[in-house]
Amino acid sequence: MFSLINTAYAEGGGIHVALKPYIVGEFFGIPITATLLTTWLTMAILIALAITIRHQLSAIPGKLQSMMEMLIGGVFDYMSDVLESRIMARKYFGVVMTIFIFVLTLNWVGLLPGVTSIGYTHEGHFIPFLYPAATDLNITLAFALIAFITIEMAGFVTLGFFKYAGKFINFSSPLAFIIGLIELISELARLISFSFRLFGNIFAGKTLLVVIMFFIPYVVPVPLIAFEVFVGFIQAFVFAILTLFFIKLAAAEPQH
Amino acid sequence: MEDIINAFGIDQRLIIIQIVNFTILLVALGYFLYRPILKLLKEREEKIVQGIKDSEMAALALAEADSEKQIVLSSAHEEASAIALRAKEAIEVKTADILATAQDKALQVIKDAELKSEQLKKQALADSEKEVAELAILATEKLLREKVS
Repeated sequence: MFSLINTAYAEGGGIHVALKPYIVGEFFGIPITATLLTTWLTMAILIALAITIRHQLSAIPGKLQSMMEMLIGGVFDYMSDVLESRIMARKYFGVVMTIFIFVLTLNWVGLLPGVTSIGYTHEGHFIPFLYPAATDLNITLAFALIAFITIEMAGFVTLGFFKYAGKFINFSSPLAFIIGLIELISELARLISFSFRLFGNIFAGKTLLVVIMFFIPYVVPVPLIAFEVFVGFIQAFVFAILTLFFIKLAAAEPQH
Repeated sequence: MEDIINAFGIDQRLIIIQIVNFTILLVALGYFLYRPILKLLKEREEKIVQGIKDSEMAALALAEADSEKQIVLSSAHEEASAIALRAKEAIEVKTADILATAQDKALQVIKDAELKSEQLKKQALADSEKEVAELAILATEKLLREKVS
């Protein structure tokens, strides 16, 4: 019934769920996946929106500008509170905010009609042009790497190389050494937890929708789609807020 | 490990492309969205702070003007009542003067009248004495004439 091959939908009485991203084509030997196309489409939407807002910016805001002001201003104030410094907040605001907006839009674009359903058939397999981006581990891993690098950079920049490295490699006592080692492992484990949390949630949501649509295609999937909209928001929020808290933790003075 | 990478279709080139995508979006959103909006919010905050400061100053100035007005009003009131008092006093003095003069004049008139009446009386007496004397002379003359005749 379930298989790990490149199929998108119910086919010949069975439901095929793919862990691998769909490869739509190749460009200089680099595979162009459906999730990559979705990412580019999302980027285009976001950049177009940003340019539109930038050109309509005025002292007395319109509805769209008010919304963006509330989001950006609110997140900036919240970050200033959490990091206890406006300078630190300004430094990491871009990464945290972009993670939130990008992941949120990717998740929501993945729920649009047409995504997963418009494509072509190749050698008996249906290949969609667009597919929810977070169902591709490459993409969630990339996000996890970005968050990881930002967190480690925050530690090194705020505390200095040796002080921050001393959090993980500590020879002052055997206990401190073991705790440092555990810290190091948990630091690296974040790469996995970050990437698999987002991947798992969106992949599970997508799979659930595929299964429910196979059995009952009308009405019933609607509340599930609404729930997936919520999950998409929560996952983007969790990803961004965890990045922020880990930055805060990394920048905190080591406790002896 | 190889199996996991294959099962999930992990390709480091795709990961790098995605990181590049993120960087492009970060730069674009930073340039078109975050920086202009944060700048706008900061400017608005400064304007609001300035506005509050200005309104506080205006309220202070108004309060000062009010107290000044009160001072001016009360001093004007005091001055007005002083003037009124002075005027009243002046009127009283003048009235007394006029009354005294009038009384003097009246007394003088009475005195004059009395003097004149005295004089008239004396004149009348003198006149009547003269007449009586003349009458007596005439009567005497008549008597004498009768006797002579």
